[in-house]
Amino acid sequence: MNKLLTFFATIILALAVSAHVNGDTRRQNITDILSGDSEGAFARAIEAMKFVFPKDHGPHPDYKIEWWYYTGNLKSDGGREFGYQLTIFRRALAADMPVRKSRLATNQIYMAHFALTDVRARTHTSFERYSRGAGGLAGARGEPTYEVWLEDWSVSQDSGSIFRLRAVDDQIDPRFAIDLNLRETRLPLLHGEQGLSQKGPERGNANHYYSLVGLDTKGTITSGGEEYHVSGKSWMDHEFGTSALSKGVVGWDWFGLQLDDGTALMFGRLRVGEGGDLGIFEGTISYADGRQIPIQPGDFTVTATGSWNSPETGITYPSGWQVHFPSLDIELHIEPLVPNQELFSGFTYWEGAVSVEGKIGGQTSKGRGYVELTGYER
Amino acid sequence: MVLLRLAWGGVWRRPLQSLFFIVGVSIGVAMIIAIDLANSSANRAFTLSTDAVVGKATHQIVGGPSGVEEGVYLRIRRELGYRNSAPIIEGYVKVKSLDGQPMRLLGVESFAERPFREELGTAKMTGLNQTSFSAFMAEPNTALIGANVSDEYRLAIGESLEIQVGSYHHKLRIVDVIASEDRRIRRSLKDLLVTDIATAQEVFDRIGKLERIDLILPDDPSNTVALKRIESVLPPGARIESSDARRGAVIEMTKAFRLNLTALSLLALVVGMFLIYNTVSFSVIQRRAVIGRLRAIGMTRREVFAMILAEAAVLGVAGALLGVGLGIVLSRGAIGMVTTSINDLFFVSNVSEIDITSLTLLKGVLLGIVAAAIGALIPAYEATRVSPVSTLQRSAIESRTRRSLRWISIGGVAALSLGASMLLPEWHLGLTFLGVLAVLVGVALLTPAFMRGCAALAGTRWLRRRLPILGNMAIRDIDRALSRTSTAVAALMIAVSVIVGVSVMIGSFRMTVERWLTDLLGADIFISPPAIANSQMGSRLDPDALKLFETFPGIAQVATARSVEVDADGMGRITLSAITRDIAGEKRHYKSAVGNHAETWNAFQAGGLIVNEPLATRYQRSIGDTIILLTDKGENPFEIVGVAYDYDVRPGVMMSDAVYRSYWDDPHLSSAALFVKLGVDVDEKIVELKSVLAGKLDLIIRSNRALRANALGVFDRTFSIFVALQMLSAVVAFIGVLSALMSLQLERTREIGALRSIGITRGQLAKLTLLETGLMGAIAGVIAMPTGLVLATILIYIINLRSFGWTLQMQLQPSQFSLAFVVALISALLASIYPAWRMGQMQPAEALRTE
Repeated sequence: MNKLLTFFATIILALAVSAHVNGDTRRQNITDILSGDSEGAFARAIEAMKFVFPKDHGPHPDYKIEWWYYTGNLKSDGGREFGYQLTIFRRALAADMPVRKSRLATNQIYMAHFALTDVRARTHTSFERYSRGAGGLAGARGEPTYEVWLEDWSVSQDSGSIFRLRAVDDQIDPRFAIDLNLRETRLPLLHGEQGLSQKGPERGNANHYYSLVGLDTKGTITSGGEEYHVSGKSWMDHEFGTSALSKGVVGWDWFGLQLDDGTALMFGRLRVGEGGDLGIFEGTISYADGRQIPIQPGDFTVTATGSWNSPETGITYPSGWQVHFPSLDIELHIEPLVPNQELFSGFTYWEGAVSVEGKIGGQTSKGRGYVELTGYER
Repeated sequence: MVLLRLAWGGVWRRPLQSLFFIVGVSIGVAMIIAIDLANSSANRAFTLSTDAVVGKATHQIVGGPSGVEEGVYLRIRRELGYRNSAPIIEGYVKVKSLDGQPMRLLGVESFAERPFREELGTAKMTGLNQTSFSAFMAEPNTALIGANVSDEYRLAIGESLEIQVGSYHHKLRIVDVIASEDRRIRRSLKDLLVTDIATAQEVFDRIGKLERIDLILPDDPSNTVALKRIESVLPPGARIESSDARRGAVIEMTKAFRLNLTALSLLALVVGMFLIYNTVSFSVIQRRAVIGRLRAIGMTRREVFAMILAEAAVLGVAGALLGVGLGIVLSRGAIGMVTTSINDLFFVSNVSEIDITSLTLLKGVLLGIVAAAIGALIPAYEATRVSPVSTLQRSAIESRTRRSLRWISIGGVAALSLGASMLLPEWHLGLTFLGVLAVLVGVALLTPAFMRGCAALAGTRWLRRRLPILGNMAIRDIDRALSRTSTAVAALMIAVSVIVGVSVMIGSFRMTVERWLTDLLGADIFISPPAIANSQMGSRLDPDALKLFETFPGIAQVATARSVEVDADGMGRITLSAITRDIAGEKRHYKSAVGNHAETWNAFQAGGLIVNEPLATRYQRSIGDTIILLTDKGENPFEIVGVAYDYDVRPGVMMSDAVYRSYWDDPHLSSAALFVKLGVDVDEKIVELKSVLAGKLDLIIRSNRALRANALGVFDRTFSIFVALQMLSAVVAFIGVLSALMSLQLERTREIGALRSIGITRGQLAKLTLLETGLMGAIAGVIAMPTGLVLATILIYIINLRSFGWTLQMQLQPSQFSLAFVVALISALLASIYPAWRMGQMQPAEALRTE
């Protein structure tokens, strides 16, 4: 997914605005920002790499941007449904880091978003953080075990295939928290060509991108001050590169769906101008039996079935979709579990838990997933 | 309306006296305003710069001399998730590119700043682009400066600032400028350089350390829970301090100093009040006849009273307004002197602007008008009390003065005892100053009785026979006009006694300090890194330099000192000097100690503290008491083994170097003192050392003579403002005497006419006038000498001791007294030149015709 690429492109401006001005909703023109970048000295994703885990769960600081993206759909013992998002982004400010004496000196900065959707309460609560990637304040490592953290928000590999996720913001609102154990159950999904995911037609305008799907999740969610024992499925995206958005791209739609029959799908599109499509977005479908099939934008059609207008930002987002994959015989209807799942701290976007139902190869199936929508403010 | 016109007319009829009145009030008001503006501007500058750096922090985690480990911040963030926390490194640096002025370098973690210094952050970041931010974060030696600074010094982005931190020089590249709409912020940006926290660690060579961690704790009961949680992760040497306490400490530190200045400015007003009283009472006396007639034609007492007061009010307002202008002008000089002293004595500060607050101006104007009114009240009351008939009799007031002399004298004795009773107990310092004023007023009130006594003595047959005719006449003239002559003498006496008192105090002080320094600075050569101000603490001596000194040919011994600030229980931050040996040796004089010199030194080596006198006095500690210091190993009690004489303004302790190192994790040194081998020329050694270090390390290498001169330079600078105030008091007094004497003589026109017609020559007349004023000056001088001595005693043994805790040896120099006498005499004689000349010009007939 090409998702928060622009987030990282805009992070500097976000720092300028959001880290220092509370509630400043000044938005930046994405293309302007990207065109100004000189990225010569950064490493580029040109060829597929051979991922070695857990090492490659860790950071790749030679690339300009990197993110670890966890989303999940969980249910309490009493049947209360939740969605969560914990995302940690890394961004290198400059390709070269001069040798510095201070351990706090760094060219790496981190940002994190934590959001919780309480379906029954129909609430979506989100938090945002920044930190320098130095002095142990924020960082990532792949060896001996994988860990990525921004202060006390963290993902850590406890043992073998278990990852522990923890996030709460005690000062802003301690009533919302997650403490979850994610167990790996399936092989990583390598998007694009063996994990080399093209972001534009240019050579090197690509990211290394894999997902862990079908992560068996157990733990506790605190919502509105109540603690719930929950279980369900999570999805992890790890992506890094030095890519840029192609000219004319205004935003993207990203879909990550996990169905009860074991099918997992990731697909999306980069939107150009009014209703246009760049035609480049390398998704993947993974069946329960382990087969992985790449998905290209031409393989499916997406039709919005509704819309939702944000009372907070005034932006109108599509809300509900009909997706059709003719060649794969897939017909899906996607509906947000709660309409309002907009994040608007430093960046404004919609990232929310959705329900999905439909037919795959003639079989009725349903499931849950996450959808991300950006660039609707124009 | 009629009254006002009468009053106005009164003003214009005596232009010279009105002018004196106005000048007297205006100088008094100007001094008060100037000192008040200087004080309040300094205060505001401290508050503003503290606010700018403290921001919205409610608390701070502070550590010992080496600061707080950066790991503490990590624990607060990662283990506690306490995000209302921000690490800070700050310090003053000297910026060559900005005329060498001190700038506060603030190292911040931008990501943590939002809750703390939002305005600064916003201002900083609004114009910041990616390249700037990237350079700010990742590249070494980069900084942001205020847009106002960049405009003023024409510094563009990309240019470098050359800064000096102790012995070390750095070049900081300006990566962006910070602008702000807010005037307050713009102002705080005037002396601010902002760098990334990592850059600040490197510039100040404090790798792995933080100066402090700012915190915002909730303003509710959960506060204590948060405090406890944070305290649980603090190492023993760190503690949490509230921002209010920190702000308060800055203001508190300089309080006694500023109060002393204020008191002196008030003294000027009191002198000014005498002047006003003089002027008004003469104008009343001169118009007694007129007043009598006005009364006779039906003007009521109340109207006369109002008329006189209105006249005083008109002049008072004019004087006060003039004083405001003059005060603002003077404040520019005063602020410079106050800032210099604060930098020398207390801490580095950069007071660049004068805050002219309407409150200060109003206060000055009101004080001026009230002083004018009080000064006018008594004569106005006198003028209205008498019956219309007796106002026409010139002798009435004099005979009444004589009758009330006893009461005035009783009042004088009462004021003296009141003053004494206010001085003796240790109350508020402000009351002590009021006591000083009461003593001065008391002496002033006793002046007429003294003069009466002198006249009576001169009136004895034995003396009268031996004095020349003119002398006898002069004495009787003075005595006859006692109500007027005594006020003039009292005013002059007060001014001169203030001059005597302050100069004796400063002279004694200087001599005491000089002797103390001579004993103290036992080593031959003193070496320290360059500091921004004499008060700057914590600067570091390069360890390589020390090695060089130890092996340098001709150097017998090296003593070192580490000077830092530490937290003492119940005292706030005090200064601590950790020394390897006492450079004063046997010459160090203790006020009290556990034993003889060797015994005390042994107790000191064993972990005892030698405290300075300001500490012992202010906190009432003596030998055997303990002081709890916050060490890097936690709070630890230290026993006091000696109280040393010391003339620092700040409370401080000395500790053995070895003891210090065992309790504090601080490997640095602040200064070194070298003892040369026998027969080695100190000055030659200094030249050698300088040439070896030239171009390598920036160090100040001085002989003990030069260091002593520097210390005395600080002393002289500190007192320059007192001397300036003293001079102004003298000016006020002189004008007072001038106006009084002139009025006195001019009033005697008819008498002079009579004298001239009975054959007294012009020369004799001029002689008489000079003799009279000379006598008055002499009397003022004579009374001023003991009064000045009393004042000096009070200043030395009460005010200084209570303000700063210093024991000074009073040093009396005859020259100070004779000078005072001469000043009194000369000012009196100068004042009589014009009247003497005028009287000489007068034709007897014309003089007689006036009535």
